Amino acid sequence: MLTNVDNQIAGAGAIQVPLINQSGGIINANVASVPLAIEVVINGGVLEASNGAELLVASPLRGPAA
Amino acid sequence: MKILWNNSAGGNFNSAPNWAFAGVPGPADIAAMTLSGTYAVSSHVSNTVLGFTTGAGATLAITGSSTFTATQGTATGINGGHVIVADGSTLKAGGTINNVNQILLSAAGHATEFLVMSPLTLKGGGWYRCRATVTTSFRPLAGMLCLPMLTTRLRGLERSRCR
Repeated sequence: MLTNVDNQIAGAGAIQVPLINQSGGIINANVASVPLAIEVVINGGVLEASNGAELLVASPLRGPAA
Repeated sequence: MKILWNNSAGGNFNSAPNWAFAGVPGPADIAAMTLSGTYAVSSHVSNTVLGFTTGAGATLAITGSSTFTATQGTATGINGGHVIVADGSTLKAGGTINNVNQILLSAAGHATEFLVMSPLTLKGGGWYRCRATVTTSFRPLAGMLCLPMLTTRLRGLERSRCR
């Protein structure tokens, strides 16, 4: 399990470990020619694709418990 | 034990004279590259430490298709400088990485990885940049996880915020 509290993970490739992206976390696919693939368990932060890139999310998105 | 880098010109991680007092950090040690100045420390054979910490001007370069393991991440310190995982090399970490600056996975034809010794927490407000021409990945220590059928695709300038 990878918990991202408040870092920004950007670029291309794959995050192949279950990921909790907390409120301060940003996952940004920003390389136009190569996607960034992730497996998010819980997302309370930001998932984004920019610069014409693709962010591939390999699991249903779920927000944190209220 | 915290072992301090002691060569402001940078150099080889595995050269004992570059470290103060106890020599090259090992599995029970914190490698503290907090000496002031701008310099690069090159780890080109596999090394294991308890933790690592870098100052603002320090770069830890993991090269030579080697693996740098920090079983407790940055332990009590921070990554205040840069960690560069060069093409074909691996950073392996558990515990917490308090990253206030940048960790770069820089692939140029070979798999370049960040192995997660679960659980791992990333904090400190810093950056992880994955520069890929072939493969960069974060993956669990014990084998690859197969990605199931892709269910969601964010393309271009789209943005998702789930709260």
